[in-house]
Amino acid sequence: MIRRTAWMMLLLLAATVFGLTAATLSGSTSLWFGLDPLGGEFDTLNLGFDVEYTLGEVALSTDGLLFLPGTWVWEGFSAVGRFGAYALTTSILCGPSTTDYLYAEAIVEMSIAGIDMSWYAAQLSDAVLGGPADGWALRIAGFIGSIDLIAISEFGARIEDDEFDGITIVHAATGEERHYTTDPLVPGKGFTGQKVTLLGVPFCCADIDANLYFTCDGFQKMSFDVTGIEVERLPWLSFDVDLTFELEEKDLMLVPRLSLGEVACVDVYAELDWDVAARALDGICVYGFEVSCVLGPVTVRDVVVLDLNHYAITTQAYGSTVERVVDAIADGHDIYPDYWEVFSMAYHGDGCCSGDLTFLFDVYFDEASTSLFDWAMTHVEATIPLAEAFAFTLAMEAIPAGIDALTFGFHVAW
Amino acid sequence: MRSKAKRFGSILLLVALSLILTACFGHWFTPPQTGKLIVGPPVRIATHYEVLISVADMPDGGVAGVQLGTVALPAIEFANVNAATIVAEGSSGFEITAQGYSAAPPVEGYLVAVYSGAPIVAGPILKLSFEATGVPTVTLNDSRIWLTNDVPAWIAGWSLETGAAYYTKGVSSR
Repeated sequence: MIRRTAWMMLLLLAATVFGLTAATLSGSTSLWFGLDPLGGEFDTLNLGFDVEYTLGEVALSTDGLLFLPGTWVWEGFSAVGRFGAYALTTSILCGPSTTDYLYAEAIVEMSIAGIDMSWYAAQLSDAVLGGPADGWALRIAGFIGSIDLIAISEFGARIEDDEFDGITIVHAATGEERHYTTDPLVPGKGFTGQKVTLLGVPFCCADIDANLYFTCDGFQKMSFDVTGIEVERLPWLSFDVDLTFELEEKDLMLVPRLSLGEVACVDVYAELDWDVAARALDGICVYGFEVSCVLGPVTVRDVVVLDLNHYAITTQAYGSTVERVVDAIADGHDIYPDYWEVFSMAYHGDGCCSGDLTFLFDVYFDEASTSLFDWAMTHVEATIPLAEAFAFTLAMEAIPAGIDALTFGFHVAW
Repeated sequence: MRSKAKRFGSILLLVALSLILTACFGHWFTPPQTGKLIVGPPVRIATHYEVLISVADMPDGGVAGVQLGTVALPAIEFANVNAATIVAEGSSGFEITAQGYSAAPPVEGYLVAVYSGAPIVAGPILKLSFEATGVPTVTLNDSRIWLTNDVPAWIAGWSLETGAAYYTKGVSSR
């Protein structure tokens, strides 16, 4: 069953590509190498490659990751195309260390007479702990007057929204992750659930969001949310109210929100100290702040975390912002759990040959460090265009013991 | 506007009818996903090897502490590993508070790690690094492993998973 559907998805992918006539071919290729100089040997090489090409109205891409020597993490393929009102996205993830594919997903979206319809289908291989599983879901959304109505019918799969995560597949040996929208549940089952959401239902002085969810096990829950209830004379304070009915339970949740407004170049990360049991506001906890300034093509930032037990600075790939650690881990964001401050300088300007010249210089500080000013790590990365369609990329990380990581690569557009 | 609403309503009605016709023929069955402590295979990085230990679908709010054995009852067993090169470090904010490894074969060890922040439902929590003397293996004895949440209370209902190349993470809805 799984193989049959995988073949169908492959055929779909092929039909998407080869069904086009008068196609034009263009694209780009990225190749990068990672070295671990502290390891001291050339066999620390990691190799990643991304290829994107456009064929008519279809954009195809493939990317892979190889840890040398010998650990090929996976190879991903995807195709995105649009045909009139229809948009098609297909993805397949293959794990070279197994004989089977890992995950396949197809999403078809169409818009007819103001109604958005989306079909999501996915399969998870038994080569992944948690599999095998397959299923599909149908999402229909549209407006009735000013009310936004979303209906999701689940046939063995759930799709990512405010309540449900998508699916994240992790390579157990390296911790590398891939995330997808459609989460298949169990193999070969029929209808499994129905969710109906109404957004912006006018009710007296507020707009209510309503949500009803039931599965084949029966009624699961119904909820009503009102957000941003303001408190007179306290413009920095607002409340969200969430009333949820479950089969044997009814919950009323009051969530206070803090809004300090915008101050030019300074962001204060703070939250209310809300004692749920006593329903009391005990105070305001400031857990970090950020100072930023844009000087032409140069952006200077300083981000500080004051509570490393619960918050951390994300890595450059995730914006170097402050996130709650549990949220970052749940969302698959990489963090630096030990660094309490990052000072960052970024340059983004025109390069010599119509490409963009970018340069990033980040310095991190760790309280436990015995180096000057608590210095713990420096991260440098740059993209240097060498020709109109050719760019060189470089990244380096240095710690007190020496250069910890060195990555360089090339990007070619064709 | 009215015709749009009518068309939308008709489509919804069709979907509802399809569900009624096909729904719930006793096929709905989702086996409960229990918590998993996942030991990844050794991966060679430069001249040494690394083993990631992760959790997924952890019940009771997630893991805030892990104890892999004791001095008297070590839970970690290494084969073809140079004991003097073993280094353990925490991931995702976990910090090692106690550890020890025997110097002579069979190389065994114990380890305690805690996270002072909020507990973790899914993600890597520990990384073991070592140099190998042959083809290395790392095995855990699940009868000597204790996991706690932030109450703190022992977490039950988890299983030790080894040999899985890939796993799904943080999918509490599965």
